[in-house]
Amino acid sequence: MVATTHAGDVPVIDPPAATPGRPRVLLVGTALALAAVVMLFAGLLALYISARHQALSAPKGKWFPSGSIGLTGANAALFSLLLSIPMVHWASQAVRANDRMNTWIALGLTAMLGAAYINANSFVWTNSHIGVNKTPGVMLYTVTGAHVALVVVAMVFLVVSAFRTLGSGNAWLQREVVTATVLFWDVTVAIFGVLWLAIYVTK
Amino acid sequence: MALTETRVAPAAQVVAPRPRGLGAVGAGDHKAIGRFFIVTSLLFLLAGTVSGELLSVDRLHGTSKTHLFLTNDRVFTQLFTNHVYAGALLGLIPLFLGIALVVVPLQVGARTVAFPRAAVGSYFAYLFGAALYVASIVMNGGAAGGRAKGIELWILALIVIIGAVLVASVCVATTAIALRAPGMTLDRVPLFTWGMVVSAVIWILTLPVLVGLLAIFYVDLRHGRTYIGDIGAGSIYYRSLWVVRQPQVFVFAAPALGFAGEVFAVAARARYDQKLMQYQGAMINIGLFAILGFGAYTVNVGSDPQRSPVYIVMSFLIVLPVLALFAVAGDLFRRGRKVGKPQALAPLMFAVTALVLIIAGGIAAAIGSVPRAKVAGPTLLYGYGQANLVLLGGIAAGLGALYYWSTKILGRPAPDLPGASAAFLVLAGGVVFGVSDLISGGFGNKTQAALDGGIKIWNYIGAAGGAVALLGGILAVLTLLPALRSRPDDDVPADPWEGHTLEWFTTSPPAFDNFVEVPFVTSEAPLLDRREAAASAAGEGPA
Repeated sequence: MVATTHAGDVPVIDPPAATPGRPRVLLVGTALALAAVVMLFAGLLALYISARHQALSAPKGKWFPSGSIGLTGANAALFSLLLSIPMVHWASQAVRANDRMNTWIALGLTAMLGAAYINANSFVWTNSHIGVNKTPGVMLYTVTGAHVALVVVAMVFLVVSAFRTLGSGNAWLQREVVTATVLFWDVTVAIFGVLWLAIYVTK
Repeated sequence: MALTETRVAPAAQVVAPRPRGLGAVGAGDHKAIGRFFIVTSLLFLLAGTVSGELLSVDRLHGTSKTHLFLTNDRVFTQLFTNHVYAGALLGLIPLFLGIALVVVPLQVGARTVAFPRAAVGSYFAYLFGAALYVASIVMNGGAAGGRAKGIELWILALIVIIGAVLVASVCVATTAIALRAPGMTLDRVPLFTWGMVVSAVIWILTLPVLVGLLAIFYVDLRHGRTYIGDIGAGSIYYRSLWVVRQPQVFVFAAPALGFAGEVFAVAARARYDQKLMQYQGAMINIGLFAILGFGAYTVNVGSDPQRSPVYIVMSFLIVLPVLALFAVAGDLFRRGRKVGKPQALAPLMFAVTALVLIIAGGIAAAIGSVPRAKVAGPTLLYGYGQANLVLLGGIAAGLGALYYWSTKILGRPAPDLPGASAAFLVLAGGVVFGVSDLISGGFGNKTQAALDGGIKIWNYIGAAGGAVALLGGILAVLTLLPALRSRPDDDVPADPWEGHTLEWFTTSPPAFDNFVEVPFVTSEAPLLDRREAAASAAGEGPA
């Protein structure tokens, strides 16, 4: 509270509180949306692990049939996304330097690696011998399918980001959009890292 | 004494011509978007509460085999799921979001809501999801429906509705976090806005877990049904029940505490005691209440309540923040008596009703969580009674908020006395309704999974209480309707309650971009600061 005193007829007012630094709207919104995304995958993974535990606890219980799902495709998917991390941060650095050309190239390469991830995932699905009519299949395809959908959303975000940078006379002004995109992409990749470990490595 | 640096008095603010109806929604006017949310959600609240009353009447006989008029058990279960889902997900949360979309930008001194187009999109997604929901119920879908396609549609509808609710929650929370007026630090945010921020964050953290569960249901339902089993067994309904049971059910009512905290100070004509840090204490209590309602961790529990120590401790603690808020309210009214009589009778009555019902629900939660409690529970009926108390508390707060901010939301003041009467009916009916189900479920229903049964006389009393509460709700809405017919030339006071927060600084109804000039905020009650400064200047010479 600001104290007010009077010196004769002239009120003396303490200086008002300093204006707080305003967090950026798009970044705050993206962070909140990402919290929802993280909880979605936390919930999915919890249900996956619970169902797996229940299946393995049963007498002669098993989860995935042996040899039904290989690591090759999953590793390819993971490396595609890991490679995309420096690309998307390159875009972030480029937009801060007002370098529009490098921003586009970096965003384009990131989107391309996202497409490679989807391709690797479809390879995993095609080559796995797990039917969707059993609980392990339901869990596998729902969790990984949800992540592919998330990558598609992230790629749309990349495209929007690229168009905003393209349409703006000064790319530097679009740094918040690109930074939000980078944040979204980073979390998307991190989530796949957890899924890769919990689903493909642990099996 | 605190001051705000303002140059423009409310009367001097210019009302710009504002688009109306769908035109305003298309223009991204947060007030219009909020109003659309409010009207639609009130329809679903009506559907949900009527479903609940039909259930009460149907199980009057108190036996598990003979329903009074709904001879089909599945119809009974569908009505039940419609009651809880329509009440909570399609009614209560969108009602609070609608109010918040109108009020939060005004309270924080923002010219619009964050991401206005996303907010518009969230309303239409909610409307689309609600239409799908109704269609799914009509085609024998729903959580315990008998037609697979209908259940699939119901699942999709809920996913769309939750998605819409999450987008609107992000818009509201971002507005409060990132678009506050100069000087409005987080500890100066109005209590309703604070309540909405913590509620929105908890919704954002818990409802996606339900989306994940629904996605698994959907895939399994279309292929093999090995996870959910036979659709007639009600597996979907039991596995998703955690959303409307303790502790998650408290999350839906969390904004009620923020509303009550704000109304108490204005009604009492007193400021929160800064030496005792009452305002910060109220903020902590609201946050604590929302956190204690975090129930996503029970997603794997199914219909059985969690008996873990965490669950029991949370169940006992949940009442404390509400009691603490009541204690602070007592102090506010004690100090406010020196200034004048309490005002804003209808909002005050609704705030008290909300807190009393939530406290009753909290006490029931604590008793039900004790593993060796003699109430045979919590049975499904006991949990139903407890959830009804909490949800009714939330509904009371929502209706009270419509009364309190009627000049900002609807454009004209709402009548005080009919509102207070309606609040009394909701309080009396709600307590009787909820407590009867607690007694009936706790002592007369030994079957965990059966909703019907119970003790015949308490079933009758509960049905009567439900009817009174429903009557109170309908009366409240009906008395609000005339306020909707505002005209641009109406002389509506900008600040009918001598409010403390920034929304009362602008005209009623607010202009399209809310404020001509946003004042610099130096405390949690900037308008009270202004009045005190003006009174001080008048008494001690020109400022």
